[in-house]
Amino acid sequence: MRRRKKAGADEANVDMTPMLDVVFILLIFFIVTATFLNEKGFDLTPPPPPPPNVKPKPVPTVNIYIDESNFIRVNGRAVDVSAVRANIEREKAKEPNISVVVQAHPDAKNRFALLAIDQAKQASIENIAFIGSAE
Amino acid sequence: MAMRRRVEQDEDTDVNLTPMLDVVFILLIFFIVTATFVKTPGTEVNKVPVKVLGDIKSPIIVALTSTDEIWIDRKEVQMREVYAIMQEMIKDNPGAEAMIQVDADSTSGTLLELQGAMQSAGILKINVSTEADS
Repeated sequence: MRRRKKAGADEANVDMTPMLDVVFILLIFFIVTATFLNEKGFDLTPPPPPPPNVKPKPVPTVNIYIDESNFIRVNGRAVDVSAVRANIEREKAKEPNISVVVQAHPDAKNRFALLAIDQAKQASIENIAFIGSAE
Repeated sequence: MAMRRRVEQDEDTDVNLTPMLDVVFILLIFFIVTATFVKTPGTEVNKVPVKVLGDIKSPIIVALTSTDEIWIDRKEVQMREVYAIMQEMIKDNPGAEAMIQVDADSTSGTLLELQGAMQSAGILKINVSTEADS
């Protein structure tokens, strides 16, 4: 009599094995498809086009031009990539809210454009524009 | 008497699966939460080493190689196809944030054209993927 009651209690235990199988399959699926993105970089969203019929206010800027042979000019003066920051900081000392415009020839390498932007960021310039130039 | 004792022993040898199930569930939830279904460009680029950079988490990835080829989702695409592909990808990623893996030797004209095509397709934020300069 007592044994029969015990057997009944055993049957009431839920069998977890099928659920465990499903959970394992899901786990393996998510492990296999897991991709851990480890990308670093910075924001380079182009500014939205200005509304028509509004004249842009002239703001003080440093013009950095990169020509088709990857020579860099800061305000018309040819400088090395590593000297861009010093040039920007000298202009910033004169005008604290200065913006930087990086203008690249279509055939210029992106290495120099991005390095110039990086130099401007190191000089803690907030407004940096990256634009193209005509041929 | 002897029979009853054997039955009790059989019950004792049953392994308790509950703690393992707990651990497996926690692992499952971790992998579900961190799962990002990213379409990788399928090409390697030589990134520009810069000093000022941060983490970017953009689900839409476009690669621009040294020969100015554009790669999206393991396929090389033409500039005129970028607009349609971006519109398709924005549907799956409502944040509309994208990342361009720029090769150091690609040209600025192509990058600017690519940015323009992506922005006109409705991408709100475009990041540039670089590497840390040691």
